[in-house]
Amino acid sequence: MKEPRPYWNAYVGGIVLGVVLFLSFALTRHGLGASGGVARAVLAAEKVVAPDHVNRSATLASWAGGEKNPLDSWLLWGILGMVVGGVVSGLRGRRLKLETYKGPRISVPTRWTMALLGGVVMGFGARMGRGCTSGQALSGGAVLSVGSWALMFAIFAGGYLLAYPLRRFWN
Amino acid sequence: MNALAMLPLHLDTWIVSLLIGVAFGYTLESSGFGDARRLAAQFYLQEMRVLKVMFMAIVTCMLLIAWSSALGWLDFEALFVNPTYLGSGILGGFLLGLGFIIGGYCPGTSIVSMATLKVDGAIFVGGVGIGSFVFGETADGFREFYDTAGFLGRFTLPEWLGLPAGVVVLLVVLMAGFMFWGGEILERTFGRGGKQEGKEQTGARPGFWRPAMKGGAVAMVVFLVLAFALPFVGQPTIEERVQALDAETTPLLESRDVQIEPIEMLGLMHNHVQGSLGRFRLVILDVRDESEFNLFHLVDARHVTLDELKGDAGRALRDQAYDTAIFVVAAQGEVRSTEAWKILHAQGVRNAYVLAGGLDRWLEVFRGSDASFDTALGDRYPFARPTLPVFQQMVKAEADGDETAWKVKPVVKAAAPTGGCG
Repeated sequence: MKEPRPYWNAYVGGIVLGVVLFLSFALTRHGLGASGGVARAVLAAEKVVAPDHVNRSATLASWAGGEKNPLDSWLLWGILGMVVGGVVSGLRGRRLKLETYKGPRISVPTRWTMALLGGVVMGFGARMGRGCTSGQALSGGAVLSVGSWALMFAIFAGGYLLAYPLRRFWN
Repeated sequence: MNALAMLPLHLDTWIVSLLIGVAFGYTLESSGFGDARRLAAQFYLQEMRVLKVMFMAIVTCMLLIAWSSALGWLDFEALFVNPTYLGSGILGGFLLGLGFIIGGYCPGTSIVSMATLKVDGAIFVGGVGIGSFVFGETADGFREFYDTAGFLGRFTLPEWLGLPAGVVVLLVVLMAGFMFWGGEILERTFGRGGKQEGKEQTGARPGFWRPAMKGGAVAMVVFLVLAFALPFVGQPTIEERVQALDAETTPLLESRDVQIEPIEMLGLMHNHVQGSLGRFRLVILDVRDESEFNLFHLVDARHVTLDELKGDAGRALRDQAYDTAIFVVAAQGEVRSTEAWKILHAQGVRNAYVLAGGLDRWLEVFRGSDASFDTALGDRYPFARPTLPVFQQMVKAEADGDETAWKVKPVVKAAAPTGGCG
């Protein structure tokens, strides 16, 4: 296996991402999203397993109750596209390889546990915040939503707060 | 004002979403966002990749939107702006931050990480699914906080700061430039250099003007020039937006798709839409002079001037409280109500209609005489809202003759696109 190619310069990546985000707004009226697609996939599964339960809960019903099909959303197509785009970019950069990214001082199972835990916290937080880094911080940030900017700073606050206690896991 | 191609195009089709997703995923992966170590490094000040990519993207997109709006190519009011919920937003953001440093990804980055076969990324995606599930199962318990705490609706930084949009854009660009500058210094202080294997060197290299930085600096200079020029161009005024949307509104008005006859209006007043009961909120906006309004007006009509509609009162009608609203504008005839309808349209208010023939026609139909009044009884006339049987009789009578042409489309909640990750 050859060495992975270097990543794009961060500023260039940001400009390209900004253009993609603008295209999303210009073509569809809304920005980008990621966590919502995952949430909708989960809802769809929940609806198949326990439709009555979904209809009884005010929150679940507002997303997937009755006739509503949680899979009928641009968010899911977006996620599918993201996987395709990720694979293509990974191939091009020679990074398509089964492995685990982790800090140098922790074991692979520890890293997996942390990834799961972080994912759960983030999945919950993304629904609480009505969006994640993509749908809120990035998309809402670009259209100058007050709530999105508040959320963005809260992300950095949360991250920096736990960074020191968790330094062993990453360094 | 260019009235030919007004953005946004309403291309909410799966293929567009898919292609945008491909571009998004490709960009994230190529920018190094598929690697948890590089993302986490942001919080140890070793590599400011997250900050640089995010703020560069925000600044780029913001400038593109601001300039296309200033040039009249894009209708900002039609874009989805994440509604502000300070309570749940800040709590959610804080949790996102905790999850970020614990798990090393955010939802979008974990998806591209998974796409490149990273096991930690795939596990993180699974975790996001579990977290969403837990939220769905528990949110009924804190619904009130979730829906109301610090809720301010569509609320932008320029509105909050009371500054012109161009000035706020300039401030954001300046802030981003300052953060990039600080980020470069932090990277040189805390950066790991080439210590980690298999990666490009990112840390200290001799000389301040590394090639990577030159690109960023050039881009920032261009952005600053664009941002400085923006306040001089200004954002389109409401009058200009009305004019720019002419191509969109004229066909609607000329085909009389938005003018509703008294019979349909009466149906709306009795909760009927398309001839049968529906669930919606009727908002009647009376744009005549106040003295005329005091003499007579429809039951529950709200008096409002065109100037008010052009300002905050008009913008407020886009609020979540009006998600299920059907707006009908009434005037003496149709001239002023058509003008008001155009303003509403330019404010981004949809589901708005004009009372055909105005109150003159209304009185002709339901009062059988002209619009002269001796006393100011307001809405205490029977013809201020004829009863339901009157409506039913009219429908029956029309069914015998020509079919009633219902024009009001039933409203579905969230007529606006669900944005972001919603």
